[in-house]
Parts: sequence; structure tokens; C-alpha cells
Amino acid sequence: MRSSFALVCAIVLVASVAGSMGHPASAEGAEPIKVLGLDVLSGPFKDIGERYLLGVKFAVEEINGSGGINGRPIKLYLDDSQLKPDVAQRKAIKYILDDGVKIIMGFTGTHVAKAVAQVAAKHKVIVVQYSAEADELTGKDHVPYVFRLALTTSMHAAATTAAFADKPHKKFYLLNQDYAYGHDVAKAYKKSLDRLKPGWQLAGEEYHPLATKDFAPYIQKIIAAGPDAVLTGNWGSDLSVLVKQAGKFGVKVPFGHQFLSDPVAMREIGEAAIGHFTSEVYMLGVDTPPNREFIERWHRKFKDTENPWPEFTIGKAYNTTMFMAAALKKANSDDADAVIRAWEGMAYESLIGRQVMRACDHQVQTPVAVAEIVPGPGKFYPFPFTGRVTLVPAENVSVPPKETGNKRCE
Amino acid sequence: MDMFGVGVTLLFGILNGFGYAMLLFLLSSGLTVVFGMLGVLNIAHASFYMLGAYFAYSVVQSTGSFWWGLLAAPVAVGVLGVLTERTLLRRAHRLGHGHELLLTFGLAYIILELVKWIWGTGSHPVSAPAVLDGSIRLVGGAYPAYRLFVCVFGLGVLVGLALLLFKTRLGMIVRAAVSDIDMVNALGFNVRGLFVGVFGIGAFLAGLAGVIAAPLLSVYPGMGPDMLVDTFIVVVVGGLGSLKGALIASFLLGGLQSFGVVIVPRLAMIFSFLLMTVVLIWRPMGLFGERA
Repeated sequence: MRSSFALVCAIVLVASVAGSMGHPASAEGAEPIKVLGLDVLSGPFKDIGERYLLGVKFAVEEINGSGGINGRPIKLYLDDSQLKPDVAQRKAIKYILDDGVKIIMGFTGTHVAKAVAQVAAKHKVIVVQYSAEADELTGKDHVPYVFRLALTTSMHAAATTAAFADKPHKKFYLLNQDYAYGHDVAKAYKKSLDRLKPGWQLAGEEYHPLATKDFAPYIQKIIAAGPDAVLTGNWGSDLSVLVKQAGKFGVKVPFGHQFLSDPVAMREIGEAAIGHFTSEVYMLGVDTPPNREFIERWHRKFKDTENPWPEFTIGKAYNTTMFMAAALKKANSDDADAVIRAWEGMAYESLIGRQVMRACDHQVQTPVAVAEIVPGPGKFYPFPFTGRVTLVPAENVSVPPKETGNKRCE
Repeated sequence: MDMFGVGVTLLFGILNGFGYAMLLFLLSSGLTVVFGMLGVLNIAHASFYMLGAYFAYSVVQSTGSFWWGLLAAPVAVGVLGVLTERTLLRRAHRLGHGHELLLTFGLAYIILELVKWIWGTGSHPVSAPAVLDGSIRLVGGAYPAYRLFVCVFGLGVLVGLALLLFKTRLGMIVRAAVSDIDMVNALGFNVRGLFVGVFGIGAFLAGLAGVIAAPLLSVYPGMGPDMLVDTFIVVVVGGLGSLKGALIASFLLGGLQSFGVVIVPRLAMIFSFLLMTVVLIWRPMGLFGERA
């Protein structure tokens, strides 16, 4: 087992080296644009933060390798949010005041994203989110300095629902975690079912405590209700334990998920997830020329590491960084107001197709990848993993501006 | 639902509750006996459970057989338990309960960090042995064979433990030590040896629970803390130091989880606390405890 500690050291080391030297000739001497990547690099979720920041780092290297932002290199700082809002705030302020950071990228955890948004508003720096999906971050709690290139909970639920749109499934069972996010997901699923599956029936709606150990009673209720499909937004152990135990009880109906395109989860869940569906703003199987080239570039460099393929976290972070770089080029400045003016309404040809940064809520409008889990070995991994990807068009997952709760959209 | 469907749900509910109860009992039996003798709640107990699961994962990875894991992992954890008692807990014992509690608390953190360091932060699969991987037709429904195995295996351990405690001389001394350690010491028994043995067996049982749980749940760094609360509740509800109490409390909690979710799912999050509150109002010393 490779130690993740070494990986963190490597990230920090490489980042500091990449930041301090090796700028291409064209960018030499120009004032760098200072960017902070802030994510969880310790504790149980550190592998997620590490992978996101690897994606950011790879993108920054490519940007600097091809002349930077109109000749200015990006200087990247990386640090650990510890998944704690107060720690993330303190570190953000330190990098803004001591190092002159103008852009902060992140964050695993909605609570962390909210905390850093407050700092950004106060110090007039840009926040770029490749993660954290709670609707309100670009809805009622939106700070205009924040741009989100991740999906919202509502968009994510709509994309997963779209996987069932042209299929005969009618009766849906909703099983989610019993806290704010789980209830939001269930609400979003119901809303998108109303839109995409008129005449659908609710076979059951259930919420279980976080980190449930034994799903047997819940699975029994699903079997008794006899749905055509189960929809869930579960993550972490609630995702893997649910799917594995449902498989053992012989539940054959497909599940719709949000977080099954993660190879770390799929390595553990394995065959029990075959036939389930999942969606994400980036997946390895997205079959566009830029994505095929991106995957090849990554694999050439990292094939002998823990992350031989740029799976969803890495791809999301990379894509986010590249769209941000395009906006910075257009703004030709790292001044927050200039970046906001340039980025609002801007279109970008991304790995997954055309993305647009909606002007009023700074929420990216994007096609979303949907895929079924197919048996392994596949093109990327020896275990079952997402198969052929279908792209759900942006307008099918988009939340109308008036329904976002964002005052700027009224 | 027709009568038949109700029957199936009822049977499966009983089996589900029974399986979880067995897991809880394996964990809480060691904890409660150690408390009875040492007077200290071992916070690191759930860490032994986690280590059992991780050891099993490594053994299954290298040998390809779950049975080797079931054999080797609990023994390894038991040995670790003995070492812990001899090198750490014994020193802290002289300084009083506060120090012992702090020691086990710190130990839990150290084990957690070590596990993350060695095995990483992701979760790992442990497959049930091929014979038990499928499901068994039971009155018109399919029930996972491994869960039945957990019920039967747990019952076997329970009977073995009961025989050891109530039918042997060693068991008699242990029970005597739980109720009055000083008297047993005064009668000339080797109390130190008893401490080591009981702590080792407690760790062994926790490790065993970890191995048994591994194919059912997930092997991940949070699995110890996630189990700790339910285990403590079982020990408190059963009465600190009472094995009989731990057994009955395990069944109560297992049944409550299993049927409660079916009847009042909204309360699922607080079932265990509800049970503890009600029992403690009625009997502050727990069901079979002698000390409040």
C-alpha cells in the first residue's frame, strides 16, 4: 500500500517547486497570477482533496508551459482546509494578505465553500469551485465573487433522472441520508421526475441516519415496495455499504446514483453495482477529441502512479482550471471586478463540450455525463466501472434562473 | 401486504436484528468484562474491532481465503491486546482510572492514524467465502447466506463464552474478579495474570467482530468510531460489567434497529439513545448492573 503521506509531501513539494521556478521563457519576468488551491489534505477524506488538487496542478503546469495567462505565469499555492470552515478561512486570509493570492480554488464540503466565500467577498478575491454542490451556494447564499464549475444538487439529480427518461421505469423509490443534503437530493429527484418522467409513481421515500451500518431493514422495505428503480444521493460508506448489501439481498432493480463514477468507490463495491446508473460533470468515458487527448497526456505522465487515469475529481478540477484560465485571458487581469465582467456569460469549449458561465448566478451551464456501471475489466480499470457515456444536454439539467433563489437572477 | 408477505418480513426482520445483535455482543462482551475487572471503559476497544477487519483484509488479500483471515486476524488482535495491557495499561493502572481512560483514548487516536498510514483512507472490500457468497431461499424470499452464517457463528461464540465463564474454574475466578477484585486478590489469585488474560480475550473478541463485520459492512478508517457509540450503549443499558446484560441489550438494540426502521423510520437516528434513556430512567444501573 503506497502511503498517502508521501503523496501529500510530493504534492506540496512539487507545487512549491513548480511555483518558484521553471516558468517558460515567454512568461519570465512577468508578474505571476497567484492562485491558492485549498482542499482537505488530512483526515478520512484526504484522498479526495489530494486528487482534486492534482488536477488543478496538472492544468496549471500545462497553462504555464504554453505561455501562461497572456504571458503571466500562474503561481500555485496548495494547502489543507482540514475540512474545517474556520481553518479554511484563516488560511485563505493568510494567503491573501501575506502572498497576494487573487484566486482561491476548492472545496470539498459545502460548509468550507460557504466560509471561504465570505472571506472572498470581504477581500475582493475570486473563488472558483470545482466541488461542493449545495444549491444555495449559487442560489440564495451566492456571493458574486464565487464561480461554480461543479454541478448543483438539483442539476446532478436531474442528470441521474435523465438516465431513466427513455426507459420504461415508472415506480421510483427514494432512499437518502437523513440530513440537509439527503433531503435536498430527494426533493431535487422528485422535481426532475415531474419534469422528465410525467406520470411517475413514488414507491417509497426513506431517510436513514448517516453512516448506517446495517441497511438490511431498508433493503427489506425496498423489496416489499417493489419499485422499478431506486434513486439515491448517498456517498462514502453509505454508498458502498448500501449497494453491496442490496446486491446480497438480490435486489435486481437499477439504482440511480450521483457518486459512483469514483474508481476508489467502485474498486470496493465491485459487481454489486453493475446495471446501476450515475452522473457527473466529468467522466473518463466522455468521448470528445479534447478529452481523449487529455486522458492520453495524463496517462503518459502518471501511468505508474496511484492515479493512472484522470478520473472524475481530477478531470473536474482540470476542466475548471482551464475554463478559469480562459476567463483570466479574456479579462487580461487578475482584478476581481475585471474577472467577473469577463467571465459572466462567457462560453468555453470544455472536455465535455460547450459550457457557459451563467451571468446572474455564476453557475456553469453544462452537458452532464451519464453512464451505466458495466462489468470489468474495461478500458481503464480491472473492476466494474462506468461504461459508455451519454451526454445529457445542458438545457435538460439547467435550473431556470428564477428558481435558483439568487437575487441577481430575479 | 398479504399474510405471507408479513410472515417473510417478520422472519427476515428477526434474522436482521439477530445478526446485528451478535455483532454487538461480540464487541460489548469484551468491553463490559474488562470494565467489570479494571473499572475502566476502554475507548480503544472499537479500534481493536477495526484492526480485526483490516488484518482480515490483508490476510484475505495475501492468502485468498476468508477462513485464514477469520483464524489469524482475531489472534493477532488478541496478542496486541495482551501487549497493550502489559506495556501500557499496567503502568497507567497505578495512577488511577483517569489516566487509564486517557491512555485508551490516546491509543484509539494512534491506532486510527496508523491504520490510515498503512492502509490509506479509502475503503477496502473483504469478500465472504465463496460458499457463503450467495443467498438462500427462505420461505419465498432470498436471504444472504453470509448473514445466516453471522447468526450461527455468533451463537456459537456466545455458547462457548457462556461455557467458559459459567462452567469452568477460570470463569468462576473471572466472575468473582468482576464483582470484587480486591477479595480475589486477597484470596491469593494471580490478579495481574487475570487482567492480561481478560484484556487479551476482550481484544480477541473485538477482532473477531471486526472480521465477521468486514464482508457485511465496509472496511474503512471510520468503522471503529461508527461502532463505538452503539457498543457503549449496549454496555450501559446492560449494566456495566454484566455479560448477561450485554447479551440482552444487544438483542434489544438489534431488534429495535431492525423493526424500528420498518415501523417508525423517522426515529431511526435516535433508537439507540431512546433505548438508553428509557432503561436508565427505569434502572440507573442498567438492566443487570450493580453500580450506577
